[in-house]
Amino acid sequence: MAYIIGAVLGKEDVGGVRVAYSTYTTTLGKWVRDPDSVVQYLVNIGKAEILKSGSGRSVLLTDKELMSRVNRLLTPKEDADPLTIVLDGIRKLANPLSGYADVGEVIKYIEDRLEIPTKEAEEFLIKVIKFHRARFVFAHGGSRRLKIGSTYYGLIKVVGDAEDAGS
Amino acid sequence: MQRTLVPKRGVGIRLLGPSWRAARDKLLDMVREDYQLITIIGRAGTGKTTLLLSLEGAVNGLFMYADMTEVRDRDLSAIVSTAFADNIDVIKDIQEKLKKSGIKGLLKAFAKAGLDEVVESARLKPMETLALLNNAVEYLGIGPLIIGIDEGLLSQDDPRAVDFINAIHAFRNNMQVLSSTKIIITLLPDVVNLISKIDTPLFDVLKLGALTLPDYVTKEDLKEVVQEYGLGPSEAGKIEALGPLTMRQLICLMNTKMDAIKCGIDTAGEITIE
Repeated sequence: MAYIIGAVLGKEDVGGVRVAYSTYTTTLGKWVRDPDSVVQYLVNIGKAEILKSGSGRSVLLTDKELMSRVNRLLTPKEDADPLTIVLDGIRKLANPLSGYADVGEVIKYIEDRLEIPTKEAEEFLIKVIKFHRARFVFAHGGSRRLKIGSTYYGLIKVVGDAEDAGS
Repeated sequence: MQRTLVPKRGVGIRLLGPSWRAARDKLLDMVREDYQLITIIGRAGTGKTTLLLSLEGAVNGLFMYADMTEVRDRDLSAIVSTAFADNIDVIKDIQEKLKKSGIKGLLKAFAKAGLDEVVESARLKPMETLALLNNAVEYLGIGPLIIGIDEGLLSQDDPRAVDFINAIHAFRNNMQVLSSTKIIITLLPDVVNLISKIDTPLFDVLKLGALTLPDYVTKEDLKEVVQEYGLGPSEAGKIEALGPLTMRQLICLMNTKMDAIKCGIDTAGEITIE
């Protein structure tokens, strides 16, 4: 809760998210009985700092990873289905001659578009491939290797794309 | 059994499947329309080599096929000398025709050189020797000279890939000098990706004359192949149930009495990222 309020009211600073002390505690007070002790608790566990700011004070919320998780919770999820996201990524990244995109680059695309860690992006891609196996075709190469059955591939293409290249 | 998976060399290769014949028609159009640097792109098993070999006897002019998979190096010298060495009968025939024509100058020297000397010259001075051959073909009026370079084996991870790309770049730079010569190269998709990253000027030229082969056979291709091998609709149904197939996998199934494992058809659903 303390970080959600910080994410809504605060501004990005070098060491984390910074918010005016009185604004922060007033808002936090709507949810907890003693907001000052919550701030003190955050300071004690190393998740916040109290800084002097002109004549007043600011709270700096320092746990960047927690703040990004909170931000992800607060950001509305993109209303696109997983297959569309993968198809968009492959088509955007595909070599115009062959139609194949590098699996490593597609994973990075999913990471950036959905703001999720690499591991989750990899799992996302695998799920989409498993569910829509006939939509994709694979070739050797690329910067990351997909193991499908007993074969390794690193390039992915949407079936039917780029077969008219050069015409 | 394994040789049934490898295309035969020589005149009379019959392309099965309407998609592949359409690809060859497109390739022949490119040759007729004076494209000089043409690439056949496709993943393993899509029929790049078969398509290239099927040009023999199908095009006007001279066709020379160079199989680079059996040569150690991949630079310009290796490619041109292989093209000469693998097609020594064509060279010999050109020399005979030049001698009969009473040509003077450099072409006379080319006509009189021993075949070993010509191949050695192709190794030491590849572009100059190729230009001589181009001029001979032009002088005799027997062009165009079509050189098919089969390089379906080279991957982006092969350190020789850069040598090969440099060699294609040299062909690109000398297209004006080789005005009666057309180079057709087979390439895997990952090498195409590599070219787009490290040699944009070459990639821009290749884009204009590229042909990408279908990854999988269509229903029409399947129907034709099944009929050609004398199988019935029930076998066709079984093959369709195996999922999308490359042309090589389909031909393999025909030749192995439908042995999916021998034909490398992976039906396992396991997918992981390594």
